[in-house]
Amino acid sequence: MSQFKVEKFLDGQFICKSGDPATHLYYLQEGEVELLSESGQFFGRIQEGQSFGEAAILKGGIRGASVRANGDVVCKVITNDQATELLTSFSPLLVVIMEALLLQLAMNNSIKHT
Amino acid sequence: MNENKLKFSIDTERLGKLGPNFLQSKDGQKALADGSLKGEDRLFMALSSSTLLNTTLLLPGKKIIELGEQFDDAYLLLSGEVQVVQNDKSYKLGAGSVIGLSEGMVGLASKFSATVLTSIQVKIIPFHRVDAVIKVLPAELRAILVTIIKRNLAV
Repeated sequence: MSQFKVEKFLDGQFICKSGDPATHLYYLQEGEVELLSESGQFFGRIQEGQSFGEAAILKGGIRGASVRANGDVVCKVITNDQATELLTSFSPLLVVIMEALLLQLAMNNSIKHT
Repeated sequence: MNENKLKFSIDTERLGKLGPNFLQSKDGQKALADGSLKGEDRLFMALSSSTLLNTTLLLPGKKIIELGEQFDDAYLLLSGEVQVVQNDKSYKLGAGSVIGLSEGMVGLASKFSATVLTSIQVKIIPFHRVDAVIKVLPAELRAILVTIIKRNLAV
């Protein structure tokens, strides 16, 4: 994944906002980010070595949450097309696995909230 | 047992009317961008048309998984309904439901039992094929998968 763009974000800076088109996946190389709901309410943190925005990558559509740097942050930024190409380059089945995991997540969220 | 609601189901009738090439069309892209086609609809359309997974029919009464068992395969429901019993809750799952994938990928025993309620058509995701793919992934890609699995298991 060394071919992907690296971006730095300052403390408090928004990396993406709820309602934006979901065009990128982020891999958090350094730092920590906060997740905010549509109404701006904090609901979680993501640490170094984890990813965010991956649901959007294969689902497309719009972002359901905002992400804000908590301290300075360094991310690898991967476009939807790059991600699909990357996954397919390892195995077409990997795209299927990723899509199925994301569909399972949508199901689990629905079970929780219904 | 405190409820028996249908907790998740994709509107396959609506998606069927859109046609097989809808996602690649301008209208499809517009529908995704404006939110009228949901992410899970897109995922279901892609997965249900995949030729990489075998499809099979399971009849009512067939046990998919028992509480405490390990998953050999994961299942994507294409049609029909499954009855799930978890702790003191009982609920139904419909088309688009994915059963056992995150659990099986990390070797967790099932925390629920699932039985076929009406005849179901499923795509089967065998873990021996999943494991073969995961083994060769670089650490960062694996981390992305692990992130999604953790979210699934935490919900």
